[in-house]
Amino acid sequence: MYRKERSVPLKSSSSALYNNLSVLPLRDKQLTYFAAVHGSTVSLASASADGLSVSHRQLQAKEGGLAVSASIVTQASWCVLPSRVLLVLTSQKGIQMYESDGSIMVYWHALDVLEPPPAQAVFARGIAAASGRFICVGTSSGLVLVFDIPSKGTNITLSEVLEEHRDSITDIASEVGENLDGAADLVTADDSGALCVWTSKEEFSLLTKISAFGWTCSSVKLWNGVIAAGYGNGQIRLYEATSGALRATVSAHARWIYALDLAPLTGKLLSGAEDSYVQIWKLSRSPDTRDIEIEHCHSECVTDTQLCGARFCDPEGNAFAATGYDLSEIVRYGQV
Amino acid sequence: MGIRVGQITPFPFKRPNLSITRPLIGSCPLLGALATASAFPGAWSRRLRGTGPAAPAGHEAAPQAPPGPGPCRPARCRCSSSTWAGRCSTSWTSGCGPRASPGRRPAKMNGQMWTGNELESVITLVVSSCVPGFCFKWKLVAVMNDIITTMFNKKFMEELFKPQELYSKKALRTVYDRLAHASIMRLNQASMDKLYDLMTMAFKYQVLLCPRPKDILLVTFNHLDAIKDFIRDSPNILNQVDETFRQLIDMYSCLSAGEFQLIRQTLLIFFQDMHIRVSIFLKDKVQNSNGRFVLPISGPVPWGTEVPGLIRMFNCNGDEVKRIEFTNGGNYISPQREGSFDLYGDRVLKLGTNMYSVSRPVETHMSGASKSLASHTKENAAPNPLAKEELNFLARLMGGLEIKKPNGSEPGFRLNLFTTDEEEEYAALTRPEELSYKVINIQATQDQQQNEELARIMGEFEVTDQPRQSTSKGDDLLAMMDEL
Repeated sequence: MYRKERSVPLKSSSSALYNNLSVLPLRDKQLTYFAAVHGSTVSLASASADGLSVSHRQLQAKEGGLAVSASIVTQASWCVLPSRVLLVLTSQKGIQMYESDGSIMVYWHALDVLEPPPAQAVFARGIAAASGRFICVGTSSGLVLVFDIPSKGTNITLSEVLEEHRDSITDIASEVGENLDGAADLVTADDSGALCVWTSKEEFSLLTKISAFGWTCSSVKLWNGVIAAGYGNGQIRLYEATSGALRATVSAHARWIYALDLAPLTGKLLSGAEDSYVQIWKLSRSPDTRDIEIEHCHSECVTDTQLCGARFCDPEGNAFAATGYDLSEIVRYGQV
Repeated sequence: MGIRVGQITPFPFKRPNLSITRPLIGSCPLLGALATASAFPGAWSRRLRGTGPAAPAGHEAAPQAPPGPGPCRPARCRCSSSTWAGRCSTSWTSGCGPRASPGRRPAKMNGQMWTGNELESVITLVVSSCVPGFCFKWKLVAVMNDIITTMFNKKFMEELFKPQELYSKKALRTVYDRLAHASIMRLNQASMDKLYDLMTMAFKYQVLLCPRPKDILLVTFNHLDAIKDFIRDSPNILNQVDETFRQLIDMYSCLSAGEFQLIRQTLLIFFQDMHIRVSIFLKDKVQNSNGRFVLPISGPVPWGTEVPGLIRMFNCNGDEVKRIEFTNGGNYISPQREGSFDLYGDRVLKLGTNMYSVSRPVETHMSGASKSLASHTKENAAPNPLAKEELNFLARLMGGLEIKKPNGSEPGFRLNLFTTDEEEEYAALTRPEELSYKVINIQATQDQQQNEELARIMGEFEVTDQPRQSTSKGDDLLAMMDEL
């Protein structure tokens, strides 16, 4: 059971974008950072555990030097690498990487818009840290850019470009559970609903492809070799990451799913959708058959809110946070 | 296939020859139509649309109108407004006229709470602003035709269909002002503000609530269907609208769900943080007093979506091995059918249809003309006790009507969406600064210096097949719109 806790106010409301909430728990400081996109700005808030003391920061999606007009930010997410934590922003113009508190921009990558096909939308979307030293970012043309992140400093380089998707990338996930050799490390999802599963040694190589079935996959997660994917028809699907075999379908929501999250220590899965519901699930593997199992645990309605972001606030999944379109706060729930 | 999302999306490329990015809501041509269409949506159709299939415009049923009480058509307007209202209410409640909406007394006007009545009043005023000797129909049709002709002008539509970024709020407002003033109808600033707010909130509601992203196309089709109904006696304009219809179908019918979602999300960015309260929404309990819309957690799920509540698990061979049901919290049912994305057809979706009809078309699923006729009859048979009050209100509005003669012999008229001129002035004075616009009468040349963005947009409306002497593009746009 979860109970509503004190909300964290935001300086501006959240936009309707997939996965529009990022949460960074800082256990040593007893603080939690929250980030949600509002148009061309990102609202950052750091809140104490009781939610009583909150401080704010607004980030503008400035273009690297050539600031002509504000471009719309498509996603903001913290990427936790063993050596450092970066806050990554994607926008119509490119990719920005900041120190975790948003204070200093350490890297700027402009999207190549020299010769876009006529009238083609250009943006970056989908952010994930992967394999200890990479940050992967998707683009509207279906590319996945892999950046090599040094343990400190600004010498970030584009090390690889993965070309498998034909449609705009929507979300990217890396393994949050056990990382076995040769197993899937990364899943990328696109607008058409196709998924690509990647493994990384020296380079990323395609493990398998999961074909589309007509609905956008807006959010994806990878946990202990299980892919959880949320779709526009409100369905959650679970796949075996290595083979791409479908293991479960869940008619989870009445509207478009906007966010999934997985608590790596417990296998709890969270889904948030435009139907205003956050649903909590639990994934497991049958000890006998190794089949993937899923059960429904909890249902929470954020009244009159089309949810655009929802996340667990700790690795056990004991607390979660959510925000929605036009909502200037982050609603929080804790387990009782 | 060649249709690219960028043609309509909001995250489009930057135009090479523009120094300033121009966010254009019109980038969605949908929006061009819809911005206006949704502004006038139901109200106009209500006044204009007869109730039965054969009944033409409400106020002046044609000679061969279906049986029933005679048309409520004052031949001229010498009668005092109250008399007129009385007469009309009689015939309306007896069932010949348009469905009367529940009379809503205007709430306090000094806040930002608009009553649905006002918009409706515009129409009624158009209908009833009769200078002696002028036939209602002539006036009404003239206004409607003028506005619709302007809106669906070929050049104008071509501009809207060009790939471009989302309009800024100011740009949309300017275009909207020009469209609203494309006829002899005149609105002053306060009334115009009110109409614009109503339009934006109505359209925000439609975009927010549409079940699937693709359904914003059905919303637009509902707008266009209503517009076509206004002008069904004017084949030329009808052709223009049908042409736009075809363009929309060509451009949008092949887009994927993800691309539609991108369009929808961009439109929602435009409407973000607008929380103006609209009385008809408050009354219908679709909007909360804080300005947020109510999201239903029951009723039909979108087409293609399953009712939440079932988990199915498969083994490694793909055989289903387990089914579990769960309660998700909502109370949903299956959708019955998908709306038609063709030129003609039942859209099924009610968003974008007449928001002022008495019994708001409930999400019922009927098929065939007979059923829908039956439902109309039923609605009309039920007398509306509030209709008279509404008519009295309209009568008062008429009393406040000021008739201007712009130039020449053609009489114009001014519409006031407030009960009295004093209220209107007060509203104009008390309107928060950030919500005020100084737009309606633009000196294009001057404006060009003041606001480069607007000037450029106007520049893009330039009529190219009529060479002009003017060197200012902004002049051209305004002139073009004036000529339409």
